[in-house]
Parts: sequence; structure tokens; C-alpha cells
Amino acid sequence: MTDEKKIELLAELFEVEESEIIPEKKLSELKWDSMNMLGLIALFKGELDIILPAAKLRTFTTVNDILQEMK
Amino acid sequence: MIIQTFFPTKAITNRDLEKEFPEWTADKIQQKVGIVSRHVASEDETPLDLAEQACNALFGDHPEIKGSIDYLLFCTQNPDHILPGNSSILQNRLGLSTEIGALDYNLGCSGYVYGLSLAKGLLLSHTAKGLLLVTAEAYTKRINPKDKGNRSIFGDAATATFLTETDARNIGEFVLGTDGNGANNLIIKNGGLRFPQGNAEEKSYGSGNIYTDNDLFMDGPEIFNFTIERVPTLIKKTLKKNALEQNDIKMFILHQANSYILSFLRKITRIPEKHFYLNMLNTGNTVSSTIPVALEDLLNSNIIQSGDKVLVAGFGVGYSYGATVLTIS
Repeated sequence: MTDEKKIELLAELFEVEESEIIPEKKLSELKWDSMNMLGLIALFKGELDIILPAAKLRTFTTVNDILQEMK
Repeated sequence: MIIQTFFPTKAITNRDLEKEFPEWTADKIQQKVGIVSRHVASEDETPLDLAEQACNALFGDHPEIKGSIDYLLFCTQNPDHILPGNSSILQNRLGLSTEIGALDYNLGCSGYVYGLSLAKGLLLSHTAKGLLLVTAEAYTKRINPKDKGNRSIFGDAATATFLTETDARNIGEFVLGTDGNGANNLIIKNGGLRFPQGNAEEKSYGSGNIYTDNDLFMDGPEIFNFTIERVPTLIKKTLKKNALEQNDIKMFILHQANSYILSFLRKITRIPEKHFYLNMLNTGNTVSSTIPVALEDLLNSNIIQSGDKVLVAGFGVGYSYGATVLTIS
């Protein structure tokens, strides 16, 4: 998956402009709530066919943490 | 198979929740969880009371059933007492014969499917001739008032299903599963022998939801992963075990856990919308009652008719999961 596509998907998930999806952005500055956590799990499974363990999900603090896991 | 549902009169709407949690607007709740209102047992109503209402409604419409019951299965995780179980008290309150078998079993979201598996065995072995399968829950009584997440999702209800040997012959093969590794992900920790109920500190999860170990706790991401890992395979294996293809099934009735999860499961299993039941709008997640509530809804609206095959799949607390195929008669 291209980096552009990843940013597009994350922008859609967090309902923000793509320009806001930068690696150093803190998830606490986006809407990092239980629904978006489920949305991220769905994104990983649906788009990448990866199961994102809840324990891993809970360690994420920045957009970069998510992008790293999407490799 | 005759099904009767009962919902307590009191209902909590999204507007009611919005008053308590102003940022959690009614529209947002409906959009996120697919629920507009959920029934809530009153302070002095327990699952046993709801069950009694469901059973009496069933007998009201079908008076001939009462005298032909010789086995009662009661599925609940919130009995009136530690002991005896609800089933013996219900036998007495309904005025059923004392010459019947009765037992409680402690399951949640998989409860109805497991109940069907027990019913099939009991009926085909001629241990029972007329079996009453009851599901009854009031999870709302176990949710912390400051836990807006769970308060949005769960609702209370009871159902009563009457089955005979003929009905048992229309119950297909089962695929069942149990994984205690997930026990802590959907739990009311205190109140049993291991951890007596007592003062418990407040904890939070997600976006400011508050709970204590005396309350229901559900780890959303863990449960979501459990469902996407197990449920598609459960459906595939159940179809195979029943020598059926996806196209043979008129309706897939999955436990109505959460509309977001259900929608996602529908997408990844590629089941067409018209063959996938999704309706929690006015009930919420009623735990072991969601499948019989769905069946009653579909039968009453003639969406499923005699000869149709439906796949029912329950999954959740335990973890426990199971599925089978029913032929409607």
C-alpha cells in the first residue's frame, strides 16, 4: 500500500484533512476514542488483512506508531 | 418452534443519554452503534421477572403449551440468588408440573445457540418431549452509570422458546467453541467467590468511561478482534458441517452485539445485506436474547418462512461461541 493511500485512509478514519496526518501528530490531538480504535482494527483487517492486537493498539501515541505498523 | 419475547416497559433513548453526556449526542450514538433506544428493567425487576412475563405471554397465546412442558432451560448470568437457580423458582411461579427437569446455565451472547444444542440433545434422546428454553438478562443493572459506552449498547429482555422433537429434527449440526483466554475481556469481576463484591476503585477506559470491578467491563478492541478472528471461520465451518453453501441460507442471524462490528463482519464474509440480519435500533444488545428476538421479528414479518434455512451464530462472553442451521417449519 502506498504512503498516500495510508494517509488517505487515516484521514478518513479520523475525519480530518489529509494534511493533518503527519507522523509526529499525537493521537491525543486527533479523536483517539474507542470507536476510532475499532475503526483502526477494521482498517487493518479490511485493507491490509492484518489483525491488529488490542495490546499493540494501546501502545500507539502518534500517527507514526500506526504508520510503522502498517508496513 | 414457538418464540415469545418480552421487553421491560422502561426505555432509555439516545436523547436521555445525551442529557447525561452532552458530548455524546443522540445522532452520534445512532450513527456509531445503530441504536436509538434500549429497554431497561426497573429497579425491582430482575431477569427472572422478565422471564416470567415472556413465559406467561407465550402461554396466553398458546394455552396448550403449559401442560406439555417437561423440561425447562434457563439461560442467565444474573440469577435472583446464588442458589437455588432461577429455573426452580420459575417452575413454581409459572405453576408448571413438578415432574419436570429444570436447570440454569450461565452463558451470555452464545446462550441461545448453546440452549438449542442442549434442547436438541434432550429432545432427540427422549429425555424431554416439550422443552421451554428461556433467555433472560438485565445487563443494564450491572453497568456503571458513568459508563456511557456500555450504557449505549446494552438493553434488557427475556425470551421463551417452546420446542418439541419435531423442532429438534429441524436443528442442524453445531459448531461450538470456548476460549477462556478471553475471560477477562468481558467480565464482572467481583461478586463471586473469587473476589467478593466490595468497595472498588473507579477506573476508566476509552474516552472517559468509568467503571469499577463491581461493574460490567468490556474491552471493545479485544472483543472486536475475537469476533473478526473467529466468527467468519465459525460461519464457514457451520455451513460445511451442514453440507450447505452460503447461497442456501435465507438469513444469517448473528448475535446482535454492536452494529459497527456486525456491519464489518457482513463486509468481510461477503454476505449480501438482504441475507444478513442487522436490527438493534430499539432493543440494543440484549445478550442471550438477541437471536430469538431476531427470529421472532423475521417470522412475524414473514421475511423467513417455512422451508427456509437460517444460520444462527452466537459469540461473546467466555469467550464462548457457537452456530447451527435451523430449518424453519
